Amino acid sequence: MNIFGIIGPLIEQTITISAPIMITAVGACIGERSGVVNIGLEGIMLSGAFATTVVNLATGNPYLGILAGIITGGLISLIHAVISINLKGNQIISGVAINLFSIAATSFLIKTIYGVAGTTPSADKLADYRIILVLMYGIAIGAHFFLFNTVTGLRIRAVGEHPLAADTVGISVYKIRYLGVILSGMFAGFGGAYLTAVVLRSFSSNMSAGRGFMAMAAMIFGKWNPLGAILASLLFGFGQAFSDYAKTVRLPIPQQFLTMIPYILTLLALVGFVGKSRAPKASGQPYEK
Amino acid sequence: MTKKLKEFLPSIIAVLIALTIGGIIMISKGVNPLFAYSDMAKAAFYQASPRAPFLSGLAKTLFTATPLIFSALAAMVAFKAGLFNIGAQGQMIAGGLAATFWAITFRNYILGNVFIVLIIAMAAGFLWAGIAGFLKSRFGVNEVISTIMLNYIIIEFQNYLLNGILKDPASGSTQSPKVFEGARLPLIFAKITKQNLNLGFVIVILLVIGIYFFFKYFKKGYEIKAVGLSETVAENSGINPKKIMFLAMGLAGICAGLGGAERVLGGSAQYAYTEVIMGDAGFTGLAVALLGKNSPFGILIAGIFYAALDVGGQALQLKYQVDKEIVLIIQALIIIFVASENLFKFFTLKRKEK
Repeated sequence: MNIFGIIGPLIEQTITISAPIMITAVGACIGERSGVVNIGLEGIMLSGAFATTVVNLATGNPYLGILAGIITGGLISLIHAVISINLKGNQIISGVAINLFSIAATSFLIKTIYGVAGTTPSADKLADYRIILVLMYGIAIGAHFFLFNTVTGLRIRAVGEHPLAADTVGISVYKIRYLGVILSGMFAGFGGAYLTAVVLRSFSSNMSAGRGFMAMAAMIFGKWNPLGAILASLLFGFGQAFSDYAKTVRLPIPQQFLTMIPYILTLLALVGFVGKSRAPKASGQPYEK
Repeated sequence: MTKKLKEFLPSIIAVLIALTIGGIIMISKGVNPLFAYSDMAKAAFYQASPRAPFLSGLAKTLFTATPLIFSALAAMVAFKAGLFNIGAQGQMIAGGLAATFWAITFRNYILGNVFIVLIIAMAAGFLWAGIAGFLKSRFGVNEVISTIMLNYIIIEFQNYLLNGILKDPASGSTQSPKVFEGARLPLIFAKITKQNLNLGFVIVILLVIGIYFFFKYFKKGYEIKAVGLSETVAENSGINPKKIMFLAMGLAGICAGLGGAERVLGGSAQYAYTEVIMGDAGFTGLAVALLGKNSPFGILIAGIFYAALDVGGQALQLKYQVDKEIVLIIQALIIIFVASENLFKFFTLKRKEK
C-alpha cells in the first residue's frame, strides 16, 4: 500500500474533524483569560448548530445559517455573562444550566417548528466547505495574536489574572469580561454551525456529542493559549481520524478499543508532555467592585 | 434554623419562578398549568400507576432519585476538596460493570452475596476515580479533562464488554444476563407500590448521614475542606494536599460506584446491565449537587425534588400529550435561577432600603 495514500487523507481528516472543537477551544481560551469559566460551551455549540439548520432551511443559504449560528452562540453566552458578571453567580451552575437548557429547548423547538421528534429535515450542505475551514483556522490563529499582541488582548489577560489591578489602572472589568464571554459564545456557535453546515445536513438532539467538553479539554491542554488549543484539538482530531482509519483496515483489535484512542492519547499526552498547567488566576471568581 | 431557611430561600424562589415560566409555556400549548402541576404533584408523591393506588408515586420518585443522590454526593465530596468531578457518570459505569461481572460469575451466597458485590462496586468506583485523583496529585493533570476522558474510555469499555463477555447469549439486545439472586438488593414496599424502590434508597440515606458526620466531626473530612478552601494554607498547617485530593476523588468514586451498582442490583432493568441503564444520572447529579448547595441533606432534598419533576413530567406527557421537554426546560430554568441567586438578594436589599 502506498504510504502517501494513507497519510494524505489522514491529515485531511484530522483537519476537518478537529475544526469544530478547535474553534470552540480557542473561544474558550479568550473567555477564560478574561476570568469567566464557561462549561456551557457544549450547549452553546448545540444551539448554534440548531440555529444554523433553521436558517439554512428557511433561506436555503448555508452561509446565512452559519452566521445565525454564530449570533445565537453570542446571544446565549449573554445569559452566562449576566449571571457570572453582574449577578456574581456560580459560573459552573450557570454553565450546567445552559447545557441542560440547550438540550431541552432545541428538542422542544424541533417538535414545535417541524412537527417531528428528534431530527430536523435535511438542509443543503455547503458546496465547498474549504473556504469555511480556512476561515476557521485563520480566525483561530488570529485570536492568538489578538490575545497576545493587541491592547484589548492585554486587557483581557489582565482582567483574568488580577481584576483589581486592572480596575485600578482604569480598565472596565465588566466590559472586558462581557467581551470575553460573548466572543467565546460566538466561537462556540461557529463550532456548532460547522457541524450542521459542513458535516451533517440535519440537526438531531444532542448532536454536539461532547465536543464542547473536548474543547474545554483542548483549552486546558493548550495551557489557555489559542495556539496550544489548536495543536491540542489537532491531536484529538488525529486520534479520531486514526481510529476511524484503523477501523477500516480490520486490525485484530476490537473496535471499541480503537474508539478509545483519542481519549487515551489525551491522557498520555497530559502526563508525558504537558505537566502542570495553571488557569488564569481570577478565572471563575466574580469581581466585586 | 431560620438562618438555614434564609440560605435556601433563593432556591425556593428560583423554583417558583421556573414553574411560572413553565406554566406560561403550558398555557401557550393550551394546558391549564394549575391542573397540570397538581397532576404532576399527585403522580410524583402519591399515585403513579393505576395498578397501585397507594403511594406508588412516592416510591417511583424515590427510586428515580436514588442514583441522582449517589452521583450528586460524588460531585460534592470532590468539590469539597476544590476538585470538579465530571466523572461521576464513568464512575457509576465502573461500579455497575464490576458489580454485574462479579454477580454473574459467582453464583453462590458465599462470594456472590449482595454485601460482597457492593464492596466490589465501591472498589471499582474508587479505582476509576482514583486514576483521575492519581494523575492530579502525581502529575498535576487537571481533573476536569481526565474525568471527561475517563468517561469516554469506560463507555467504550462498557460497549466492548456488553458485546463480549458480559453479553447474554439468550437475549437479542445488548445486555448482560441477570445477576445472581443473592446479589440483588431487596425491594421495599413493593407489594403495596408495585415499584422497584429497593434497599439502595436506604443505603443512600445512610450515606448522606455518614457524609454529613464525616465532614462535621472527622479529621479527614476537615482536611478535605481545608484543602478545598486553600491548598497553600492547608499545606502550611501540615496537611498533604496531594494525598487529600486523591482521597477525595476516591471517596467520590465510592459514592458513584455504589450508585451504579444500585441500578443493576436494584431492578431498574430487571437485574441486568443494559446499554442505557445509567441514563445520564452521573451528569444530572452535578446539577443536583449544585441545587442542594453542596450539603448532604440539601442534596437529598434536591435529588428527590428533581426526580419528582421527572416522574410528574412523565404523567404530564401521558395525560395532556405535552412534550417532556417542557419539564426539562423547567429543570434548566430552576438551575439558571439558582445560579442567579444574587438577583433575589439584590431585590430584597432594595426593599430594605425603602
